[in-house]
Amino acid sequence: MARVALDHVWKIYGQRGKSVEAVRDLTLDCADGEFLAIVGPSGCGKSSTMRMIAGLESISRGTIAIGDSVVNDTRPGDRNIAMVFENYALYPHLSVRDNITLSLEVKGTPAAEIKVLLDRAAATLDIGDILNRKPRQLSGGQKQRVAIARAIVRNPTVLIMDEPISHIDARLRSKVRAELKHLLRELQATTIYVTHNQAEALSMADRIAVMSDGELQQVGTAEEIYERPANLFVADFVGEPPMNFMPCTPISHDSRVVLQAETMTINAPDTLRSALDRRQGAEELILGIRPVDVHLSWAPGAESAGTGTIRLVENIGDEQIIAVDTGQRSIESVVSASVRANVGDTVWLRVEPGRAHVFDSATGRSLVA
Amino acid sequence: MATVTLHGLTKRFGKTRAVDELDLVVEDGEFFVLLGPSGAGKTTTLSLISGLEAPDSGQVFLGADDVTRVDPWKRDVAMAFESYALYPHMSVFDNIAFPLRAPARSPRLSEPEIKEQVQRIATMLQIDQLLERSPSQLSGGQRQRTSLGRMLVRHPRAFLMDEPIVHLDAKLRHHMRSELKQLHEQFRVTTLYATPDWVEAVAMGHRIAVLNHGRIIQTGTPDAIYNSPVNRFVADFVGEPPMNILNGRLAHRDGRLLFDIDGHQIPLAKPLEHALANAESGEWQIGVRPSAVRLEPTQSPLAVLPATVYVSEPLGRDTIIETRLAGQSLTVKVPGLMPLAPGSPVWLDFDQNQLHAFNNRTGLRLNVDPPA
Repeated sequence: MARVALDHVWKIYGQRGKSVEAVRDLTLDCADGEFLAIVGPSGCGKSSTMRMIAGLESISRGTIAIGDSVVNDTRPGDRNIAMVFENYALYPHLSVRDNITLSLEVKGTPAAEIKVLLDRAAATLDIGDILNRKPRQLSGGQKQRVAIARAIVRNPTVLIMDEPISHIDARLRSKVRAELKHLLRELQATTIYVTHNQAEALSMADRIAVMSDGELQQVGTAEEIYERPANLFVADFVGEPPMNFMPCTPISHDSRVVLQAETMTINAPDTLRSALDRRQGAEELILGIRPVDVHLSWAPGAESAGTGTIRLVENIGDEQIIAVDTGQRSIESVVSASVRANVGDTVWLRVEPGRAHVFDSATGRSLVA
Repeated sequence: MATVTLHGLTKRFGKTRAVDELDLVVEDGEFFVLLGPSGAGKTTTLSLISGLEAPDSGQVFLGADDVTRVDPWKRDVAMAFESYALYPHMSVFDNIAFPLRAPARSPRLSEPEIKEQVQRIATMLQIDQLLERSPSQLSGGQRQRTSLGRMLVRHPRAFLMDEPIVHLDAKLRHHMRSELKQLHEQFRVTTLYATPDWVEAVAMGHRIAVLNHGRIIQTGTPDAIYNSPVNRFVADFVGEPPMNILNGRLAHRDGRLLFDIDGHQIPLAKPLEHALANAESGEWQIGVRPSAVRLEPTQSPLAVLPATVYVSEPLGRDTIIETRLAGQSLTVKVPGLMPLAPGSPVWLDFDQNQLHAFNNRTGLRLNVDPPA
């Protein structure tokens, strides 16, 4: 295994004089044995990035290194990378065993060694009892494990996974996700995992790189990405249901700073005091509050930030999503299912100051960043 | 609008009973969800109601009318599909007006009358500013509203919706879900809504029928389906992550009945203890939702069951932690972020009031009388 380092990498596709910058100045590192997820909506540049690492695309500018060597001019077959694709790409006419061992046989690996590698992979992935089956006789989860087994028997330097569980039935996906995370941790394989699904990236990876519009927006642990989103894009993309956003103005009030946002007024987080002092009265900030941080009460209190009327109640099992109409804007709150909430109720909203996110509306950047 | 009643409805495809003796009454104005995995019979049921398929036996009533042998286009039901099936070459106005201009329609409407009706529906759906646009110029939400408008101008007696939002990404799906729910509150058209997604079912439905292999397993409110599942299938299908089902045996200690998992003793709340004591003897499993388990990183009087972390998954507002308790898999959902390395010891406690007992052989959940 080895580290992967991208240094000021660009991917520019030329089209009759018009060029499209699919990846712009990307600098990103995946440490030896690390599990790095690259996440973003379609068109964000994640697939071009992955394809450049794998050698399926040329690198327009910058360098990509695997271990100690720059691989810009190394052919894909010589990079010692194994890939697992969304559709598994198993050979339908070959048995599971032959699918796994084919690449070893092509390389001329001795039969005895192939057997050792196969047995180990089959045991790790718990597929020893399906080695004689054909791909069509397998469930989605089994196909995925076979595809991973095929990738790891080659003893690759880097494992690249492209949406490997997107095709699995939703009921099974969370189970497979947990299994895959456990397995990759045991393998200690340097893994680059590409997905459009923020929950998948957050739940599985050691670190997450969020991309949008060809550029890296933020890279960090699940906690960093979720608790301290660097900009509006990351704040909106990560978390479900999405963060509430509204314009706000900082106003000094006695010795504190409050954020005046349409129909809501909340105390500013202490961490933002100095940043906000410089922007007194400026109307260029966006307040962001996650629905789980909007607390509701059915009577006004000293800490109430605002009031509104319940517009919609959605039961989601243990919890319910409540949309509160505050006059100018609908604000979503997630509360326990045991709370009795009815459409038409008047409620008061409360937000812990430390749970407020504040962004510059011109640049989109978080004031904390 | 009307009630929709299904009586002994059966449809076979070859040897498979796609729909098997279905009995169901959907109330006037109700939002009723058919929930089940693929192959459960949801789409076939909707096709039988719309008339696209004919049943082998049984009847379909709209209101008091037996429509089992009535042609589909005379049934006055509107069906929405996963794709909105808008005519791409027509404007929003012409798409909505299409059913009003149908040659078979009687009485014929004049163009001013059509214009007035389309305008009224479009205003209610807040797409009256978009009537000149073509579908390609609309957002997903606007397309859905246009598709609904086309259904609404017909004043159908019932709406049938077959997984209308399943192909959307998570954010948009959430948005469309609340919008559909709100539109239903506004128009109150009797709606049958088929989906494999339990969140959609509990978020939108007044009542839900859980289907499997063409049969209704349970009918009830979202609360009943989630908190009192009739059997292991419903308990497992509704909820994410699914309910934990643990093997063990009943044991007596100090005059009380409890559940023993390999020497670890799970106390039971009085109503469940009482119900188990009175139940016929048999093997039982205990069910507990991931959110009804407390997890502590250190041993405390509040959490005494020793377990080991298998994998922990931070999801932002919650962390899902899969553990091993006496060799069995047990998933816990804790609020916030709790990073725990695989292999870490943790201590658990079950919320006694949220335990379910399932008969090992039949899978049925033991009915517990509410405390007097």
